[in-house]
Amino acid sequence: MHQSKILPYLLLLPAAVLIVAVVAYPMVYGITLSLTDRTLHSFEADFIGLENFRKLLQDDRFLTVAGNSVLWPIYTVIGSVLSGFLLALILNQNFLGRRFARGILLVPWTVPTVAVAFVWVWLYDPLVGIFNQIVLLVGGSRLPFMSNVGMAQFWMALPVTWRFYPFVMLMLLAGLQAIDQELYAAAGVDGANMWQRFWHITLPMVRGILGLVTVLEFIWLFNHFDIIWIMTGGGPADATHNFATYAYYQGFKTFKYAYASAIGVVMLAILFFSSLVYLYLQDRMEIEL
Amino acid sequence: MTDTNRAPPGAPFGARGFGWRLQWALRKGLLHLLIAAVIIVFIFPIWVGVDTSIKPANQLRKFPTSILTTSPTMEKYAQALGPLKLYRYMGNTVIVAGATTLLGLLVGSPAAYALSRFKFRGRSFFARTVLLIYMFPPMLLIIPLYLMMTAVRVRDSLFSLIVTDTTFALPFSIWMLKAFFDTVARDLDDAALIDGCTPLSVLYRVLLPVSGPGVVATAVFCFMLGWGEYLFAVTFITTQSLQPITVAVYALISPFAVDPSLLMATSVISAIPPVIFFFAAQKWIVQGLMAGAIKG
Repeated sequence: MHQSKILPYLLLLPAAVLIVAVVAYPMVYGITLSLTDRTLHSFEADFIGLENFRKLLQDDRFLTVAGNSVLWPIYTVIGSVLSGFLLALILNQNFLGRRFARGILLVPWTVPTVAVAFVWVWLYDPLVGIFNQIVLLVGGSRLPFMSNVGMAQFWMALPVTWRFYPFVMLMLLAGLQAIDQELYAAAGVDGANMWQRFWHITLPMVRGILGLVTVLEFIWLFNHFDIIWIMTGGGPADATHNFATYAYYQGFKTFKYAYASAIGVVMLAILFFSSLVYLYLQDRMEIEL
Repeated sequence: MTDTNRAPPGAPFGARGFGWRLQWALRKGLLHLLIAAVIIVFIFPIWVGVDTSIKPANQLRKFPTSILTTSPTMEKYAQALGPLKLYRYMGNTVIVAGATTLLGLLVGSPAAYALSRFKFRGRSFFARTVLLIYMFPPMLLIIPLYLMMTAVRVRDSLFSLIVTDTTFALPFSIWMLKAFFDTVARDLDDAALIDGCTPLSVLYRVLLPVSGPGVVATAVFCFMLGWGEYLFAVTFITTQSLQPITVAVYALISPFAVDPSLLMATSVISAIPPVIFFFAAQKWIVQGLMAGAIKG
């Protein structure tokens, strides 16, 4: 460690300036905004206390969105963590073309979200989309996908899950490869079967990473905006809105700046708790390492 | 799930009975089939996207359609780059992503150096704060940022995107660089200091040059972030000629419009640079992410 009193602060200064200007100050501004009645058309905003939050609780659309926001992480976090884990286990096997498979399975993560949304709009095309063609070929009847209010959020979860599983896969694969092979050899001598080896060696060894990526995926997917906004804009009948798209809708389609900020504050409160969980898990990880 | 292909303990493989070997081969064959099936399912959307982009129009709306076109055409790529002038918007994206990369390194590396090599009050507070940025809801920031940028008249500019993208790239750039700096032996710093380097020049004379892979990984990460960013771009930029490709594609051809092949061609074009860059630096990015997201 170098000894210097001022230099480290000088080194951090540029980053600190950016963080204050783009995150910290706007955060305080946003929280203040949520306590006013500011819209695009109001030049002077009045302080109205918690009125916006009271209105949120009476806004049927917001309550629908809040309901969606419970289901949304369940679909997408479970989907991306399970598929990422499954693929990591597969890629940890020895097989021909493993490196190639790993490479190609990472592609969804590197493609811009806009392109992901476009591809899935086409896959879901009700008339000539490939999914409905497959459904018809196996003798089913056309699926309405995004036009069915009851199922829209489920179908929306697929492209988003597809974009986000590679991160889980990558982290868990690195974790799996760090497991000492001797452990499996010893378990083999003891006559443990495949399932027992998974349950008693693999799972405990990657538990820490699994917990961290699950929280991270929750945070990212909870915040996710791009793919939903491009594919449906939150429709039909608000079925695919989450907090993020609904806040954006209130802010930039109806221009209720203060009301949208109140939704942002609700998101901040929820994410604050998830961040604490994340930091706790990371601390525990550090002890284990 | 793990190593079905490893022979159980006991007699060597060759000494086992035919039945056992047959069973082993079958299991291994089955495993490969399963792997192939799973991988095909997961890459199917990419396959269809690329295939659609090179499919001639008359094959597009056939039932049943093919998933491997027999007469590929590059017509839509020519249309996207020619009449639609996609390269103009790509130029905006290159500026934003390039500047984000440069600034990400310029701002990130001194901060990473401080966190890796110095002991000072507030060190862990700063480290934590930086990490929390990528857990922050951008929706709370976007309205204040919109109003602030409008007030100082920088909103409808590439500058506004560069500043926000750089900030949101900071957690990754700082943590990845710190992880790579941490692996460099302190003896190198000390030797350089004895040779008359100032503590500041240790950063660019010693740490940055030795952590080449880390710098590349960080650069690629910032680049990808700047390249694919959509939320700020669609909100801040109102002048069409300043739109980056992510926004322009949507504006030029609505995804619900008539030409899926053109849409897929533009999507492929917009995806090629980040995909290539990512794969060039894949190994180091994984290292850096592990260090930043998991170990903290």
